[in-house]
Amino acid sequence: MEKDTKNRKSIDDKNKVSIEWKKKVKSEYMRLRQIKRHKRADEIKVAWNENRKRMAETLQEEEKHWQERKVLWHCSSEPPLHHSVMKKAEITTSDGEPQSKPIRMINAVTPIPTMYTWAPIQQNFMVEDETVLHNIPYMGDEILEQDGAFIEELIKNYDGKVHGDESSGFIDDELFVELVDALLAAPVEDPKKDPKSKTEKAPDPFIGIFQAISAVFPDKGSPEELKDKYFELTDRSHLSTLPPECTPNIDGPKAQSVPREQTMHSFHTLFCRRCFKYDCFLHRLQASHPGPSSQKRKGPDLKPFAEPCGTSCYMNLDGMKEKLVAEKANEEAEEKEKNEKEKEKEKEKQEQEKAANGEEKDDKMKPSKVRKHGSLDSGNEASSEDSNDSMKTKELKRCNSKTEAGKEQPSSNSSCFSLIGSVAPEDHIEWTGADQSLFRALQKVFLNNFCAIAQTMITKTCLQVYEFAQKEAADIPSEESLKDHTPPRKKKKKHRLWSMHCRKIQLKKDSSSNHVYNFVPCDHPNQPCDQNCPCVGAQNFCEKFCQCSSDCQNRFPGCRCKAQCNTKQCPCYLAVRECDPDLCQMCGADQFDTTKITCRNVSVQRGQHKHLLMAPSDVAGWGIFLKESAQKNEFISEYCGEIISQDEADRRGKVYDKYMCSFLFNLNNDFVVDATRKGNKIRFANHSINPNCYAKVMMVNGDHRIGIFAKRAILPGEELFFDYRYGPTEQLKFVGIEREMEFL
Amino acid sequence: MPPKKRDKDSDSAAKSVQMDQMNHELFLQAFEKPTQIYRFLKTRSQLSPIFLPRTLSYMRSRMSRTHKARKEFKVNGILAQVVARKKKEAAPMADFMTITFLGVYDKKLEPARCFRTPDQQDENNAASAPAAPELIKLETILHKVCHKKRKDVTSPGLQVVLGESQVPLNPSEEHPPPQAPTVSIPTESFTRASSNMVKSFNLMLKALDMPQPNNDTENAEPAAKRRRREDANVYTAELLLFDKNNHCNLVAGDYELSLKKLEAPVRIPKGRVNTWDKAMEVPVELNKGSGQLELFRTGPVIKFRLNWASEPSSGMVERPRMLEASPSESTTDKENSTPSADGQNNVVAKKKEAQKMHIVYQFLYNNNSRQQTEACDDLHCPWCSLHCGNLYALLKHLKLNHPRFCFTYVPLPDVARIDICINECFDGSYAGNAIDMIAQPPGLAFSRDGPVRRTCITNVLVCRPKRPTPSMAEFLEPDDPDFENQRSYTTGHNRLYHHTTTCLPIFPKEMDEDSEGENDPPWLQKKTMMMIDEFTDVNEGEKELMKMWNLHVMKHGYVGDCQIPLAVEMFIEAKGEEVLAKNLYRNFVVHMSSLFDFGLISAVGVYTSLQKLHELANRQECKMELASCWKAQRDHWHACQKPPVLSPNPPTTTAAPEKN
Repeated sequence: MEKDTKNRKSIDDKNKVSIEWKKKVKSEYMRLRQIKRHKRADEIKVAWNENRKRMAETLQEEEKHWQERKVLWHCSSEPPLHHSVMKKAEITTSDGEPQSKPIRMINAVTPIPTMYTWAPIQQNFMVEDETVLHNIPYMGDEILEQDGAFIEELIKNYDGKVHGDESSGFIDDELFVELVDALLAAPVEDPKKDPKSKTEKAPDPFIGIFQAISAVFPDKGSPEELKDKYFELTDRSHLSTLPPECTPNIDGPKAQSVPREQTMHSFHTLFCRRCFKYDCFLHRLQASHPGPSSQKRKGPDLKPFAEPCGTSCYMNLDGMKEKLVAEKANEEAEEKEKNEKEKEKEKEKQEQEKAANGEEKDDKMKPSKVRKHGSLDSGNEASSEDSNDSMKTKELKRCNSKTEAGKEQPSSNSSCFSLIGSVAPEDHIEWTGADQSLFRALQKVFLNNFCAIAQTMITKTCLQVYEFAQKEAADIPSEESLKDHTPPRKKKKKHRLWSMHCRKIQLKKDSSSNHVYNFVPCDHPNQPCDQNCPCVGAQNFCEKFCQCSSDCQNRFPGCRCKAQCNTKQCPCYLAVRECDPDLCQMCGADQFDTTKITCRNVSVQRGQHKHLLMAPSDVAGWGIFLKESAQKNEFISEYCGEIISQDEADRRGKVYDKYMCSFLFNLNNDFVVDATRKGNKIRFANHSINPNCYAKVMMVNGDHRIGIFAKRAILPGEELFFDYRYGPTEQLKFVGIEREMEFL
Repeated sequence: MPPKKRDKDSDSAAKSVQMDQMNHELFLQAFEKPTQIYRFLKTRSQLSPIFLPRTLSYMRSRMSRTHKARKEFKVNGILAQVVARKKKEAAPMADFMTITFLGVYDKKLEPARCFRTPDQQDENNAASAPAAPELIKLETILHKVCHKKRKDVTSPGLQVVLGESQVPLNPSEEHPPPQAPTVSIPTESFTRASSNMVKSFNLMLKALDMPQPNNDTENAEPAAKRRRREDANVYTAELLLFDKNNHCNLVAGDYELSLKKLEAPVRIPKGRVNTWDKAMEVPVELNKGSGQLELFRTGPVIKFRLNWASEPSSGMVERPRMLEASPSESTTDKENSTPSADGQNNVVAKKKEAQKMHIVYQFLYNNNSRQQTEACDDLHCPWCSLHCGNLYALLKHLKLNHPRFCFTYVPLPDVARIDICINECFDGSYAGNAIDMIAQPPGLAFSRDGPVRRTCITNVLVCRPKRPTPSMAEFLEPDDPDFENQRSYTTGHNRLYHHTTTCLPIFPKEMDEDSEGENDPPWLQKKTMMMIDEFTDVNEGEKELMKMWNLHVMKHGYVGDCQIPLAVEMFIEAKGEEVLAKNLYRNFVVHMSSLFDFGLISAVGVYTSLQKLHELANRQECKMELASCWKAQRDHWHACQKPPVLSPNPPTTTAAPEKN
């Protein structure tokens, strides 16, 4: 019923206002669009001028560069010594005076092959699927005329969507709001419509406008929808300049007291745990982007300082020290207990291992047993992490000598920087929003070490922090249950067994189909990594990015090679993985300084590519040439490009097919590397059936990456080729040059 | 096939002639261009030779010296060698210079003499001949040329007469007189210590009473005139002993000096022959003027032997045996041969004594012989007039230096035929330094604009390849004409490289830097900043810090969790001050606790790195800035005490105090 009336009403209204309002709407719309267009034209002009300026600057710079280079052609005006025998250009001026000048020949510069612009990258870059055809590819007039079917088919691939193809009824939020605002202001100017508009305005000033807009742009929804939308859009802009979900800058004056989650929200959601960057280029999918695992704390923790940090330390409170001592004793006792437990377990395990060694064939039964055992030990970190920690502490020692004295723990009496002194004492009692938020952020890190929190906050004394903490009573349990979701695997398992395990997995991979699936960190709380785990399902190892325990069965153990890790002796090499800096430390994969690395199996991640030079190829188009020589199996370069989905690759491939030039490279079952728009120099390597390079997809710290390696010893100046047909996943992708080659 | 043949046969004779002419025209056209090119190259290489042909392994015959000394060469022996040489140089100074006069030769006199004495010689064959030579009085004078003073017109000289000797005139070669006069000059007389004015020392030989060459006119002249002529009959020759730098260029050997009338005492130290070295032929510079050489042939010449000895000798000594001294013919024809070839087929023959190999060049066009040269035994290359010495060298030279043609050697019983046709597969593309191709103007590579780095396209290799023994078989027609040698043997960077993004050529000096190889190209830096800026729900402080962190990580490329503490440390080192200056301290603290949440850094790590930042803050003036920011925050907080924002979203922990 209601609907009916509404409809009718709207129709009535429309009838009433349609002509004038529609006209108005249209004219306003056109006016706004005109303004927009002008604005845009101005912007383009400015951008154009800017670009021209930049180009001129670059040119000037280049010119200067050339001047310094001494290879500039000084076209001297005086004729050379042998000018008498040179060919001359002669002319007779109007007054009959003959003039002549010797002709100097300039070498014909050989034309270079065509090149389409591309952007250099050294790491893959993931891009989204394009749902709209951005441009109709131009391949010469003949093709456009002759092969119209191809373009049609291409457009069909994009569901007929072509960029910039929107109808004239294009209207976006911004334009919509502007239109309504303009219409609101307009009616007054129309004297003829005054009485009517007044009456209409009284009950609802807008509805007429929305009705008119709806009438002009029927695809934008009913007047009610438009109205709601308008309010929604304007509300936001009215209340605050920032969108509601944006936390004010913690360093800015308008900082607010917000819960920890909100303070950390941007950092947590944008940080890529795999690239260590915010909003990284590679892991754009939510699935490959795990948040922080709240369960794991990276040791060592900062224990409460033994000594008070100053006169205003909370430890100076009555009875505080005793409390602390008691707590500490408690903790130590717990620790001891834990250690004993651990030892017991160890023994048990060793016994069990002996038994297991006896019957090695049922390897598959082990996990269940292990799991049982795992459930017994609670709250102790994995042994594999020990090495990490000791390394860490070493590093700490290096960077801060103070820590050395305090038994791995920094002491409180560091020369700390504070702002407290700069203000009156009564001023810093107040807890501003920023202080509160910062405290909450820090408390999780430093727990009950109020001295450290105070020192880090710089605006509050230790005592104040303590008091605030009591007030907040951030009842974060002093020792979070560090129980891992997945039961850890057996401890101190023999490495030998592990390499066997790897081999087995590798074999399994080889025997089955060649499908290689993209790695996605698994996250299945309270479930061991069994057949249901996505990593296991995709026949990938669990990586450090997974939310499972570091003792997970499915984790790759890394290698302990002392050599170069370039033979099948190295489990990493065998598993077609690069050495993981967090797993393999014997080979120096963890060293930051690349000169200290003995491992040769880290070339892709470290970007240790060869110096390549581009020149017109001996075969077709451009080619890439090696500057220095390369040994057999030596790493040449990574094949970088845009990571696109298989679907997108199919769509793009259609165009590349037509161009007879493709830079597509299958990465795994899910993704394809396309070096057309972004890439590195190796994209110029041509195809050959007798190549000097080969491609290999490697698992590099959780990402599949394509490494190009030397198939034989390569001399300086040799052109690089690899066989496109036997790509990394042995899947034949179209390659233009190859077709040409096969005819030869 | 047959009908076609018949067609051809039925062609009229005129037509065939016309065809023939046309073919001939085509043939000439085809051969014209390469010939002209090679002629041009010939002139060019004559004017500025790129290399000497004698260095080529197949041009051994042109090499006049051996490398035997090289075999025995030892690095350690250099000093000894130099010492020995020095000693040798010093030696003449300490001793006497002995000149043994062999005789005065005047060819103009000879015919007369011959004419006069045929019966004599016929009669008493060998016996009478030695007695015949008449003696000429020869004065040996040391001429010291002194420094010319400004007012002097000629340089003043000092003449010391060293001795007089009787020198035989035109002694016969077969029966030289048994004894020869000598003059010894002590080297002390060359010391210029006494008078520092002496510039150079010349040896002056004065033949006092030379008989007049034109004997037939001798009697016709009047007596008075004749007497006067006696006075004028003084011929002199001068030889530079020590030049103004006190260098002595004279080594022991036989010398010939041309004698001139006294009016123009011209010294011509020509025709020097090194005797001790097997009388090797020394090339004579021809271009200085054959007129002077002519003098030797026509004018009077005195021959003597110069020795450096430790003891003086005076009077007569036993006449040394005459050394072969005919520097004229064989030496002229070495590097300075005058071009004799003219055109493609017109080869001027030159008589050569030893090899009687006749060579015929046959020009082929469309597999038809078009032209054939006369058989000749010239071993000069028809295009560059280079004398090749032997047939093998000639063929090798033709094949290697004239690749626009194909040469095939056809041995015939009495003649060697060389078939020449146009090489269809000739690849005229540039094979040198690729940079020269873009260097404008052409030839810039050889400009003298200052040092410019060039790509090295030649590597100096010490290589002694096993060369196949030279055999004529390599020039015969190949059995199967496949191009096995088409593959280029050059390795290295013999091409022009381009920058990958701009396609501009890479200049040699840029070769070493790997352009477009960096991890964080500018566009990517801009891109990451833009991407972060695009977020609407991230505040400006967070954005700024994230950008700084991203750029830092992109620049250094950290690969593992274990490197994050180091990354933080480096970040503080590199950008700590910037963080403080931009008032991002708390954002950085939040960033650190975020890293902690991700398990990438420990609490201790967070604490120590923040302490490091504090150290920076202490050092810096930013303390004031931080304080002022803090103050602004407090003021704002006071202004809107208990803002409504707190209530809608109460911290999760607010309920806690009750619990406590």
